[in-house]
Amino acid sequence: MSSHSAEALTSDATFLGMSWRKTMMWVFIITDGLLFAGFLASYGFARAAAPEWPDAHEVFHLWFISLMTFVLISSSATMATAVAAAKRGDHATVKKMILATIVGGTVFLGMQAVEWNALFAQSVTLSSNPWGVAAFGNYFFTITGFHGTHVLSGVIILAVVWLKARSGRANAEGVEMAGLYWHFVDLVWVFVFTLFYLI
Amino acid sequence: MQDIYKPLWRTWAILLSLTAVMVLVDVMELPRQLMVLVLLGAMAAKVFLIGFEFMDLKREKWIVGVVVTFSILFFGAFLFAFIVPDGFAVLAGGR
Repeated sequence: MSSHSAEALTSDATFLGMSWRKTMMWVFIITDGLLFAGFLASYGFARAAAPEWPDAHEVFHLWFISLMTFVLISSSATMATAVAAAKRGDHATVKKMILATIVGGTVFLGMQAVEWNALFAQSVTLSSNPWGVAAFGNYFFTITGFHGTHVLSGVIILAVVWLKARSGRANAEGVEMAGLYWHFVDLVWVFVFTLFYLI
Repeated sequence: MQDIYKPLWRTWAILLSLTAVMVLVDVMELPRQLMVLVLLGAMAAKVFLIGFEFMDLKREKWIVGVVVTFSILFFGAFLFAFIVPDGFAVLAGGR
């Protein structure tokens, strides 16, 4: 890379008024979003093509899933507050809100583990289930598992940011990047919740 | 709660209200097409709120929102255009 192009990628450089770090985070979000779009498109096709599909009301505990949604949306609100606080230099609020977000993410993962266990108890696996629609378990575990992995990654990233914030080394942009990722995880859940559990 | 954070928590309350509406619509015995329409509308509203308020797109230049939305829609349409016909071809035993 020439010194000129290297200079263009320093944190001071901008693209559409954003730093390159933030631009690349958006690029990542778009590409990762397309990955989920591919999963959900494939799920939609499989469901439309299947002569029968298990009734979500019989398979899932809707109130429990709604509680999971409540936890994730709340963690997104605490993260947004942390980002706003970081931009103002309100370090005490940043630490509190990031910690609250980590707790929210961890609780969500625990609830997902409970939900998966309930399905295992009903003999739902990747390749078989009592309703005789093999693709159901496959899509369910792949999509929610992939989303859960994103939540887990987010919790780890936030733990790192929180530790940096505690030692006074976190900057506003770092908190904002972690926030963008966390909101993306919440955004994907909005699709999963609607398309998998409700429709 | 300081005033600066209030809009974020207002968004949180709206998101939770929309979720509650979605759950209620799901448990009510509405005609399926109407139910799907309401659910997709509420989903779109939630996506907009998270993107605009939480991801702070409202403070970015308008072109950023356009680029993000257009990229997802364009490549999403691209994916659907190739997956769906291919899927139906496989289903029909075409290959």
